[in-house]
Amino acid sequence: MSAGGTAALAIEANDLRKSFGKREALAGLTLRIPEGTMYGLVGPNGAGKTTLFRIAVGLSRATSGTIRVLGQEPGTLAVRGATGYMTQAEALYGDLTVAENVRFFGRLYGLSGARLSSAVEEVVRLVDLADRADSVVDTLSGGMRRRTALACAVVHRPRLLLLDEPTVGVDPELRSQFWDAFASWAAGGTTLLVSTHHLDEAGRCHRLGLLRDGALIAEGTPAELLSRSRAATMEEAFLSFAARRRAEEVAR
Amino acid sequence: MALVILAPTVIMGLFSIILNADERVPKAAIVATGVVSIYLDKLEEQLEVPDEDVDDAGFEIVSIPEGMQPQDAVREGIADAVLVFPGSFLEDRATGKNSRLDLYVEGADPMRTAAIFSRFRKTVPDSLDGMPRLLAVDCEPDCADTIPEGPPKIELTRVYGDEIDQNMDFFAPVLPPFFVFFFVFLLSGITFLRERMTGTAERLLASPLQRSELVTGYVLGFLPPALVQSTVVILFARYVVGGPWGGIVMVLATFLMCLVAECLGVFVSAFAKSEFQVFQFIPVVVLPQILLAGIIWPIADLPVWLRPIAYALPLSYAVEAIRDAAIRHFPLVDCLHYLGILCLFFAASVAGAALSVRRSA
Repeated sequence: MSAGGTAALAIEANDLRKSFGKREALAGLTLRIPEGTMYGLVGPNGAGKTTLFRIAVGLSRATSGTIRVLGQEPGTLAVRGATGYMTQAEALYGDLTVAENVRFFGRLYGLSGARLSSAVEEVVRLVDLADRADSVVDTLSGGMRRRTALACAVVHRPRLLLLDEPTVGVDPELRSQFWDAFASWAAGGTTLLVSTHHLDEAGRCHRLGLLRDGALIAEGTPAELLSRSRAATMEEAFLSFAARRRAEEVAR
Repeated sequence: MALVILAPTVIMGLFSIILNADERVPKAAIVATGVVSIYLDKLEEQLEVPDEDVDDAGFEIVSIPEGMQPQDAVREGIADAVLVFPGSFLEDRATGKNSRLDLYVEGADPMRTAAIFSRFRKTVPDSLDGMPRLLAVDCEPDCADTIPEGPPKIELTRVYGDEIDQNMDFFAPVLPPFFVFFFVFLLSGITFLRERMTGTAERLLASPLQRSELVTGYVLGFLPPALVQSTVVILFARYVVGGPWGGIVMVLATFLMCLVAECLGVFVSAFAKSEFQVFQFIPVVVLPQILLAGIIWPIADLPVWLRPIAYALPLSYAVEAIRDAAIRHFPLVDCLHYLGILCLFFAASVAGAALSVRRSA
């Protein structure tokens, strides 16, 4: 908590812009994510979700605007060490086993010895792959590989967890297990920024940002968004906000 | 796509430039003792290439310090060849004995040796025309007609490379660094490209790992298989292909080329989007080294404007070091400067690879 009594911000972006040639992937995004929040980023393909993640982990630089991650510039050694990142791609070594992959990423974050072994064991159990820990990743199903990727992202118990579409290609039962895990990590103080296409599961986040064309078109708790849009479901709410934004653009 | 079109034209152009280039006129010194020394100036004049007629029969005449042994003049690079007229040359010639000249050449490159020898055989007989044929005091009138005429025998002495009796002896010692470079470059390029394509590179860069640590880790990870490959290739060159043995210099130069190739592979993978594109870099990174690094032609024989490019290639130094050790039998200490340059190439390629692994875009 900050001195003023409000929660410290895990991510604070102001008027963030990123252009790739003439295309603007982020068009003045302003975002505040308090620590300990499970924040859902919802939007169609090309809305700018992955661009925001890449900027937040220091893999890409914003064209203009500012962003602070855990109170620092993104990409510093301290921020990288305190952040877990699950990319859209599985990003695993297919010829290593589940445990070897998790162990490798644990080492990158400074874990070693008994601490590393217990962290690997715990996280592999958490993603329900204890019985496949010694299986080579290339022999696993898509869902199991996603679980392995998630285990790699959280093995070092990060303060900030950036999950870029973690449930793509994952069956409903496993998706539910993932969200249970996310909720428990958030309850333990971890900040999560999760992007998703699944509007139904997005409702489990503490707060949601609806992203379209590189800017937030609505932001708030799921209940607030449903109330403001007078929609029954998150999907209807998103469509409603998107329609309003289009109308505003036409009016301009 | 541009590479597919550009690379073959550049390579064919290089072949054409090198093969059509005027043969470098060898530097030759004439050493004469006894009576022949009177005719030294005339001999030099006749052996020198006329300016307007640079063909394959003459020489750039140089002089060597008085008292210097012909072998030393060649060894120190003052002359490519030294032709020695023995003191008894004119007498032998006059009495019909088989007159003999001694020719000292560097000898490490059999093709170069043959070319120089051929020039002497073409040029020397004509150059002797103006030289009087001293007849023996007791020679009867017209006895000169009975003395058989013929070109003098040119006795060839190679300062280095006595055991070089076929072209393969010249090439075999420098093949290991080339092949190791070629395959390690491809392997590391494709492997690191896969890191980028599967997303693991992005994950690694988002971790606290430094770019230099990433490249160093890659080098270390590749090192054991690369060393095994280098060892096998070196042993094959030594015991199956045959040829002179370059000892520790050959081993070190090959290993250093292996390290440079690993980093260059990582570097090049930054500019490729598929394995196919990595292969397209072969004409850019590998082929110029075959043509310009002294494997086939000595760098000194390349057109002047191509030589700086040759000296910018790491393989040039590996080739020089290995030939110095294997053919010229230089000890390790005399090859250290080449190995040092290869170490600098390695350091530069680590830096280049680290810079190519971009954290921010």
